[in-house]
Amino acid sequence: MRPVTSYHPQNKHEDTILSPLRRVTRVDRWLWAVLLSVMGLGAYAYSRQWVFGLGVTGLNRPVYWGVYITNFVYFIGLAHSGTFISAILRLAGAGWRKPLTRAAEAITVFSLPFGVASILIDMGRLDRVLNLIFYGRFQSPLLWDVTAVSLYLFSSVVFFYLSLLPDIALCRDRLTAVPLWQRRVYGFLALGWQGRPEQFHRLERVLDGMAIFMTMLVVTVHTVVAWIFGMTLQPGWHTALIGPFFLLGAIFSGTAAVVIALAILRRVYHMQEVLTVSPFNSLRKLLIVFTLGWLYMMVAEHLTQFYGSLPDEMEVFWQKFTGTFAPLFWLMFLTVFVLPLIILVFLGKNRIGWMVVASVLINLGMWIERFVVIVPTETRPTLTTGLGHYQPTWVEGAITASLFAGMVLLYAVFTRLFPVVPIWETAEAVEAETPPAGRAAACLACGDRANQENP
Amino acid sequence: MSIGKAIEAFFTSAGPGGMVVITVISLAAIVYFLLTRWILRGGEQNE
Amino acid sequence: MPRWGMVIDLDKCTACQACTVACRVENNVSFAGPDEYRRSRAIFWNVVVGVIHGEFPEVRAEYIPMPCMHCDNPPCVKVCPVGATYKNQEGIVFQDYDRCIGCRMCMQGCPYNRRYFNWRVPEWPETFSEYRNPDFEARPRPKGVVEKCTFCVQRLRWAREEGRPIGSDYPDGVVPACVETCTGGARYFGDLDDPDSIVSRLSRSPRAFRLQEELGTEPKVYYLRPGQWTAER
Repeated sequence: MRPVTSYHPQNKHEDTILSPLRRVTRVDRWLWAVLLSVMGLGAYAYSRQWVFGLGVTGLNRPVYWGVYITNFVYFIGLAHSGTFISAILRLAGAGWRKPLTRAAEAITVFSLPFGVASILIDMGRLDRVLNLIFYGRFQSPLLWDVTAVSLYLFSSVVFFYLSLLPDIALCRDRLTAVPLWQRRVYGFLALGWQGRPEQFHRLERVLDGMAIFMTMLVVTVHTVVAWIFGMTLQPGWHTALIGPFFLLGAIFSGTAAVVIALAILRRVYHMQEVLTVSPFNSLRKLLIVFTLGWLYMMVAEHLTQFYGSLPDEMEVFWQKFTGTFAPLFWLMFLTVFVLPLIILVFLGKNRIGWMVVASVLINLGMWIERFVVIVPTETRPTLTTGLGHYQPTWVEGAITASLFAGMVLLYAVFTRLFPVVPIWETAEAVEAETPPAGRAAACLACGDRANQENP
Repeated sequence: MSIGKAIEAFFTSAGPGGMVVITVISLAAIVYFLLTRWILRGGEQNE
Repeated sequence: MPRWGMVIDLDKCTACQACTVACRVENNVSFAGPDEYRRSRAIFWNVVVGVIHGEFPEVRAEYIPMPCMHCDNPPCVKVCPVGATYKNQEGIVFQDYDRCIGCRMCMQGCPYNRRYFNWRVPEWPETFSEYRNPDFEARPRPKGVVEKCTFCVQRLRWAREEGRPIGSDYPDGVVPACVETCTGGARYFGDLDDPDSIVSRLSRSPRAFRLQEELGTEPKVYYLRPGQWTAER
C-alpha cells in the first residue's frame, strides 16, 4: 500500500515559497491572456510563411539566415543559464546556488523548446523534418546539432524533474486547497515519492552524476551550435575561436537572464527572505567576470583579423566597425560590455535593481551580438559582386515576439504550479535532505498517520 | 573493406546520422528511466 | 567513367548573357519579377558577373560567366544534413528536390554562392509556357528547396538514350545549354579525364585558372585568362 504523504525536510521558508501556488490572481490571467495573444499573432505570421514560403521574411541572397537563426542561437544560449547554475556550480560545491537552481533550470527547460522551434521555423520544408532521421548524414554539423540539442533538451527536462520530485510530493501533501485536477497532477508526478533517507541519498547521487554529464553537454551543445557557422568557409565565421566564443556568450547571457528572472520572482512573490541579496551579489561577480571574458574574446578575434588583414575578412570587419552594421555593433558593445561593467562594478553591489538593469542590457546586447555574428558575414561573401543587405519583416518580428511570449508564459504558469525555490534543497536540517533517524523509522513503521500528525 | 572506408561511409552516407540521433536519445531514455526507478526504490523494505 | 568539366574562355566571352537565358529556358528556372528581384531573390543558375578593376580613366571590366563549379571536393555536399545534394560518379553535383529540407546549409557552404533557394512558389510569365522543358529532371521546383546548375544533366541523359556523343569535341556533341548557345564560342564541355578532349587540353593551358583554387574545392569549371585580345590592341 502506498502512503499518501511522505517525509519532507523542514524548511522555515516553506510557507513563503508555497504561497504563490495557493492562488492565481487576476493579474496572472491578464498576463497569460496578453502572452497568448502575442503567440497567436506569431502563429498567424507563421501561417503566412507556411503558405507563401520564406519569402515573407527579409531573407534573400546572400543573407540566407537571419532573425530565425539568431533566435535559435539566442534561446539555446539562454538555456545554458540553468545548467550553469545547477550543474556546474553544483560540481563546484557553491552552496549559495541552492535557492536559485530551480528558477534557473526553469529558464533552461522553457527556453530550449523555443530554440528548437526557431530552427524548425527556419526550415524551407518543415514537412520533411523527418528526413533528418531517415537520411541523416553525420558529416553535417546540423546533425551534430540535432543530436546534441535533443539530448540536452531531454536531459534538462529529466534533471529538472528529478530535482523537483521531492517538492512535488510536498505540494501533493500540503496544497490541499488547490483544484482537484492539480492535486491529481501532483499525485501522479510525485511517482509515489516518500522521502525516505535512502531515496534522498540516491537522488543526490544521481543529480551529482547528471551534473557532470550536463556540464559536458553544455560545452558540447553550444560549441556545436557555433560550428554550424564555424565549419563553413565564410570569412568571419571560419575561425577556431567561434566555439569558445559562443559558449562564453551563452553562459553569460544565461546568467544575466537568471538575475532578471530571480529579481522578478523575488519582488512579485515577496521572497525577499528566501532570495536574499547574497546570491545576487555572487551572480554579480560572475557577470563581471563574464563580461570581461567576452571582451577578451572580441579583442582576440578582431585584433587577429585586423592584424592579418586578409581582404575577405576585412570586408566583414569593416561592415561591423564602420559599415552598415556599425550602429548595431557599437550598440552591442555598449550594452554587453561598457554599460554593464560600469553598472555592475560601481552601482550593482547589494542593489538588485541595478543588477537587473545591467542584465536586461546584457541580454538585449547578446541578441544583437548573435545577429552581428551571423548577418554581416553573409552580406560580404567571397567573390562578392553586389553587396548584401537584410531588412527583417513583420513576420520575423511577430514570430520572435511570440517565442519570447511563449517562454515567459510557460515560466509564469510554472511559478503558479510548482515552488520556484527548491524547498528540499534549502531546508535547514544539517543533512538537509535526511530526517533524524528516529522519525524516519517511526514514519515507515506506522505509515502515513504519524507523518500527518507530526508535520 | 578497410576501417577507414567504413568510417568514411558512416559519416558521409545518408541514414547512419539519423540512427545516431535515435540511438543516443533512446539510450538516454533507458538510462534515465532506470535511474529514476533506482532512486524511487531507495530504502524499500523488501529489497 | 567520364569526369565532366567546363572551360570558359574569357577572351572570347562578350558578356551577351545568352548563356544565362538559354540555361533558364532549358531548366525551367523561375522568374522573380521586379519586386523579388529588388529583394535579391532572383534565381540564376548561370550568372554573368561583371567585375570592375581600377578607377577612371584606368578602368578595366571583366565579365565572368559562372555556372555551378561542380567541385570535386564540394563543401556543399559535406554539410548537407540529409544527402539532398551529392556528387554522382561522373562528377556532377546533384540536387534532390524531393529530399531537400530547405535548411540552406549548403548555400552557406558554397564559397562561390552558386546555389539558390525558392523563397516563394516559383512563377513564370504566361508566355513562358511555350518554352517549358517537359523533362522530368528539369521539372519546376517547389517552394522551400534549393536548386542550382546541374550541367544540364537531362541533356546528358537523353544523349545517351539516343546514342549521341557528349562534349564539345564532336560537331554534333550534346553539351549543356549554355555551352551550346554561347555566341562567342567561349564555352566548352567535355570529359576532363580524357587527355585528348578539348576541355582537358584547355584546362592545361598556361592561361587556365579556376576560381578560389586556394580553398581546395577542386572546381571543374576552368577559365582561360583574357589577355591575347587585349595584348594585341
